[in-house]
Parts: sequence; structure tokens; C-alpha cells
Amino acid sequence: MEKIVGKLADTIAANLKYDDERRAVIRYGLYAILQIIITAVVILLVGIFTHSLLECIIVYISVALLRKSTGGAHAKTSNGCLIISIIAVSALSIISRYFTLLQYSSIICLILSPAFFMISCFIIYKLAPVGHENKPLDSPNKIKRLRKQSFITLVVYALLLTALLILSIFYERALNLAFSLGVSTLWQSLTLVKAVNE
Amino acid sequence: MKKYLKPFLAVTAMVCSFVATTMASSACLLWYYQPEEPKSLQDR
Repeated sequence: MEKIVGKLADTIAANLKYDDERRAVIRYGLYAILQIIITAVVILLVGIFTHSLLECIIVYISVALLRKSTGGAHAKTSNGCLIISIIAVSALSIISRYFTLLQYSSIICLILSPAFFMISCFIIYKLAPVGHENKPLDSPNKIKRLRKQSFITLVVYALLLTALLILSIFYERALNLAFSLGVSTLWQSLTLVKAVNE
Repeated sequence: MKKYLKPFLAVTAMVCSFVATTMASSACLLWYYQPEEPKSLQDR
């Protein structure tokens, strides 16, 4: 994917007579757009075929929003990244959708969802935000701003999780959605641990 | 067709610059792979 993005950026920059720095910006943006579109389309298709569309949307958006401020582990290549993202989000969504087939799943979910969420909050409080050698976090103001953003996101997720758990009394599917929010938050926070250990 | 190519590329460049700036203002890209951040976008 990087090669395609590079060629596209070269074409745009050559036609518009941009310098190297502007070409790098176009390339960076183009990569982000393509990555988001491809991942979203594949995940939505997986969601439609496995009847877990709502879970897929929740996992995809919640991981993405949280990752924007916390950072996390990174794959070595862009294609590896694409494959890992799709597999991880799909797997978490399918597990969240079908775990209710297990016996005592309601009680398990009511205990695990808040537990997962609290573990995530602790990890994020301790580690976020995590930088990368290609995108170092040097500025104290930036670190402070990203930590604040992470906590605001967590507060919104906590309210959403509570609402879904209350809603599950009347609407069984809300339990799956609450569980998907819990597992996706935990998964994203665990990528911070991996990133820090690297 | 060629008449519209340049405006189309200019719009694409604007959209890409906007997305790149948005991405650079957060900690990471959405997913795993982290491409090198352009110098002009660092520390925003």
C-alpha cells in the first residue's frame, strides 16, 4: 500500500509543482485516508456477513477514537498493519456478538465489561500517551493535552457503557454492545503495554 | 478531461493536507503502522 500511496503522492506533487515537504504531507494524508477507508469497508463487510455489524462499528470507532489520544503498538509494515487491524477488530466483534450463546453469559458480561473497563482506565492512566520513533512525543504541552483527551474519551465511554448495561435489562442486544465496548477498550489499552515494552 | 485534472489534483492535495494535519495533531494514526511524520507537521 505504501508504494501505491508513494506513486499517487508523486503524481499529485509533480503536477502541482510541490516541493519535497509538501509531497511528504500529501503522502501522509493520502496514507491515512486510504487506511481508514480500506479498513472501514472490510470491517463493515465482515460485520454484515457475520451479523455483527453494530459490534463491528462500536469496536472500530471506540478503538480508533481512543487510539488517537493514547497511541499504541505499531506494526512493522503498512500491509501488516492493515491485516492485523482487520483481524483484531473482526475477532473482537464476533466474540462480542456470539459470546451470549454461552451459559450464564449475562452475568459474565455484567461482571467482565466494567472489570475490563477499569483495567483499561488503570493502564491508560499509567502509560498514555505513547509515542513512536516516527512520531515522537517531546512537547510537555502535547503530552498533557493528549492525556486530557484520553480521560475525556474514557469518561464518555464510561457513560455509554453504563447506559448500555441499563438498556440491557429491556433489550438483550445491548449486552453484546456493552461487552464489545469493554473488550475494545481493554484491547486498545493492552497495545499501550506492548508499545511501552518495545 | 485534462482540463479538470489539475483542479482535481489540487482538491485531493487539500483534502490530504487536512487529514495529515488532523492525524499529526493526535498521538498516532488510527491503526498500527506509523509512517514518518513530515517535519512541517511536527509538534502541532
